[in-house]
Amino acid sequence: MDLKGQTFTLEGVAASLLILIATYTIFQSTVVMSPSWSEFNNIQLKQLGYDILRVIDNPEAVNSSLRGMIGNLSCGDGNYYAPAEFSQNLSALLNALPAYGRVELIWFNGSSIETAVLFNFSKNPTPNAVRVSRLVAASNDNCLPNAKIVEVRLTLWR
Amino acid sequence: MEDGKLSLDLLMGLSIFLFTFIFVANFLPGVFADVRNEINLANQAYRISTLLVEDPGYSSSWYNITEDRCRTEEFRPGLAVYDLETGVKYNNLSVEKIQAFARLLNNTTCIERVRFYLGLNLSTLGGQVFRFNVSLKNLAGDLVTYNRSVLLNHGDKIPVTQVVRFERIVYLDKWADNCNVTIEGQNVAIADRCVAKLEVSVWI
Repeated sequence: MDLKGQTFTLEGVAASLLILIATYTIFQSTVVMSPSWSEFNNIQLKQLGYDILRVIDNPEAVNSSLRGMIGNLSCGDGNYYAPAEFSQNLSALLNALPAYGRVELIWFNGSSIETAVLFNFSKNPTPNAVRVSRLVAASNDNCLPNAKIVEVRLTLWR
Repeated sequence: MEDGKLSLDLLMGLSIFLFTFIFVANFLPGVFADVRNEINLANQAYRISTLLVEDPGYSSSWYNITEDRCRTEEFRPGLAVYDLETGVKYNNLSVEKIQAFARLLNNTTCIERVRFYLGLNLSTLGGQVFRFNVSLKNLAGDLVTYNRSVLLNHGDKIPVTQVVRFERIVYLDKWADNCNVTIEGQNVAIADRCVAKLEVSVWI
């Protein structure tokens, strides 16, 4: 009888036991699919962004609210300048987080969607930035022609 | 005759392999246990902060519950202002509710009821009991005071171990003592509101 290249009985039993144990262990262990830790930081920053837009959207405030900022926006040479009160308030909020921010105003001008970036908040975000936005009913015929609803888009990063 | 016999080498190799395999199988889930734990805590911190900031609480007069009635009445704290015309005002916290919440957290019996009703005591379901702490700070990082007493810095004592904190930017319905920020030497209220930061810390 040629014994070369053949599996012996006990080895066969040992091998099958190994496979059985391995399979059993794999099926018994729990696989947990959960967001990674860095995603939680993004969730936190995004929530703070929504909070900021909610807090500064005060219809009773004048220049420091989102509506007042849009109404009293000034522009020239392709730049858009928010009222000083708004810029100071938003800077104070961003410093408290702390985070950097970029503010864009997006509106529908007859046939096209246009974007304006606020002069003091025009830094370029890093790749891991988060973005939040809020729709505001406001107009400014000089700087944002035909705007009725303006999307205030805030990009935050650390 | 060597049919059906195992050599000593094979037996040793097999046992070493099995020991290593079992050790790795037991050890691997432990490597990620810390991270998983943090994520679990993060969920809780997020949930509690949302409940407090975006919900007026249950019942509508929960903030009238006194320390001697917290055992017998069912309630869930929520700090948001409820307006009959506009509904819940998200992020707008009622000073009256904050004071009631702080009062309940100060009482050793009531803090356990609050923990239970906020879903942080899962021991009856075979789960964990979470410790928590809630504080209200101004943008400079100081605790907000109202009539010269600290509004909210209550809950369990924060340990030095792993704590997960979730922050929310909120504004109060009344003027506190120190919610203004100093910009260029002037005292300024952000958007004419008393803006503060609510911090919810959760740990095991």
